[in-house]
Amino acid sequence: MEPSRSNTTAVPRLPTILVVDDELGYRDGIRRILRGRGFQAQAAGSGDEALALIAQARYPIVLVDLKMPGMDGFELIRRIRELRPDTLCIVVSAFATVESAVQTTKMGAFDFVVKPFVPEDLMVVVNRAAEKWTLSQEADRLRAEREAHLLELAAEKGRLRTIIQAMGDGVLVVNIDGNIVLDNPVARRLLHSVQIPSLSGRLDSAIDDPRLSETVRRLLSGGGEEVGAILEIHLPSTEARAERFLRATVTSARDAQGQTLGVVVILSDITDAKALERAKTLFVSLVAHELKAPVGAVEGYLRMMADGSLDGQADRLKQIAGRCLERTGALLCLIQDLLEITRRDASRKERLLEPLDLKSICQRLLEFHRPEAERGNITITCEAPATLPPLHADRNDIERMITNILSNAIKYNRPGGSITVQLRATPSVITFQCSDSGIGMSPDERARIGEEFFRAKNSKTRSITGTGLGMSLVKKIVENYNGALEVESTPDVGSTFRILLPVNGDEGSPS
Amino acid sequence: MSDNKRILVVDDDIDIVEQVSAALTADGYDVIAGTSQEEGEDLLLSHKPDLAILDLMMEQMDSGFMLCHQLKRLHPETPVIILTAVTATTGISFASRDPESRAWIKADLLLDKPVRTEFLRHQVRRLLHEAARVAET
Repeated sequence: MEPSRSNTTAVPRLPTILVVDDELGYRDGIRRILRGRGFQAQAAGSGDEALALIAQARYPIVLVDLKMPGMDGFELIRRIRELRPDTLCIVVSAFATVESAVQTTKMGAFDFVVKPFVPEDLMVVVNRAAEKWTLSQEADRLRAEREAHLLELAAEKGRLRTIIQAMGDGVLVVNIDGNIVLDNPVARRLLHSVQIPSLSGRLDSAIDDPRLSETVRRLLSGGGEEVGAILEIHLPSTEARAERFLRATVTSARDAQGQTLGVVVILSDITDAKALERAKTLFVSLVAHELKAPVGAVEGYLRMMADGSLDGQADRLKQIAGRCLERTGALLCLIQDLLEITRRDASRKERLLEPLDLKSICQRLLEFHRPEAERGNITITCEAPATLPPLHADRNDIERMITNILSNAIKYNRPGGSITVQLRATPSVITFQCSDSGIGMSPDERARIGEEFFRAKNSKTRSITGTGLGMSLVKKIVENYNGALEVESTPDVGSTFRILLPVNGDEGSPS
Repeated sequence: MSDNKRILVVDDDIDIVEQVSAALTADGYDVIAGTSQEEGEDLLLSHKPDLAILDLMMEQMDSGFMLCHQLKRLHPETPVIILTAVTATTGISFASRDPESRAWIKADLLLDKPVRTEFLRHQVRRLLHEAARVAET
């Protein structure tokens, strides 16, 4: 027992005793005897006086003279028992009849002392009462302590339960027999068992994964040093649900002696992380593929030069150098676009929003691309209202978007073709539209617009260089500004790219 | 008509067509070349090739397989080499050494791009030699 605790609820070693007797001699005599033996003692000359004292303070033991004027001992004991039922009443009486003894005991008196008595006779009875009182005090104290402890335990369990219920990860507790004894809502959700109130039964029936079952079995048998393991669980897709990947952290639960009690399985949903990982791997292999082709082509030409296949063919050499330059140029564009894409994916913080005049930006970019268009005899026209509301966006984003659209319109056009750029505005939306008289796209190709590294492949596009990232970037930019990209296209007639941008398109910008 | 062996080269990368054609022409073969599945189909119908080198991914993901299939149906004895970078891109793995893959692809050899011209020349010689031996027996 903690010392501090026993101090605070300290029980006085001896109870305070009230002596009730109408005879002063007995009253004082008994009080003296009691005080002489270390008891605190108070005296009362009548029943009423005694009740008044008892109402004010606790007297665990009361010595009662049976024969008193006014309220007699029987009446007083009855009243005391009413007031304080746990009071130990000892009858002190000259009428030592069996009858009166039985009667007072029936009324709840503790014992009986016959007058006249020697102090030792009295003290035998008083000490017994004192002992009983001390024992019951101790019992009360223990009971109170146990109740407080139980309450604490219950509260602790409740708290733990709440924490487990509120956890973002799934929790399963498996007992030594391999049965689930505790779970939480997340665990049920992850295991597609939301409809049942709690998982129970064998762990194997909740999660069908041989490696997990084996690990849990091993931990439960508890032979080795192993205390836990981390596994990846694949829940394959069914008709009703998509596939899911979980990370299971399995830990054995042991008591203070190191005895295995069960196993705790924490389940985390890593489906999204897995999908991201896959997308990343696919992207990297696509990039590698796109980088390999031009480098391979240039290497092939260099090999031809090195092995003398082109010796003495000045014109051919020049032509091949031109091809090499075209491939390396395209490669540099690809790297540029890749950097642009990764920059865009990595951070949106760098975007600097400012009110932009889309019309002047368009006109400037059209002038920039005009020489390139003129080489293919392509005419560019621009139609725009006198004024446009300012577009709140990052200048680089918008310039990149328009450049990529224009450059496609030129590349995929036909000699002598045309490009028409139209700008329109409502108070909330600005529309940029670019129509070309180019080779157009099939519905399949149109559907794949914006896919990374997708390039329409047919006999008409094979001589056109491109990275397959241009439209992907346009799509990303449009999405960044909560805009929409619409594409209409007819093979051999041309394509129209329409971009709708909210004037205050960026979600982060103040309206 | 010359006695030279005729080789069909189809690849949508014009530089690969250029380089392979140059190397094979230098070795004394007649090269007919196309840069799309469509052109390849026309060529294999109009000229019976003694060997074909086909790129896998052109207009379609499996253009090379389609051409190979058509060629083998017309001229089962003509060896076909398929050039591919597809394994790296999609993670699909197949090999002409694997009898099961060969059975459905029906190509005699699958080569990863980029392929060294020297190596390709060697394989062309080997396959033509084997085809000639089969034809004799």
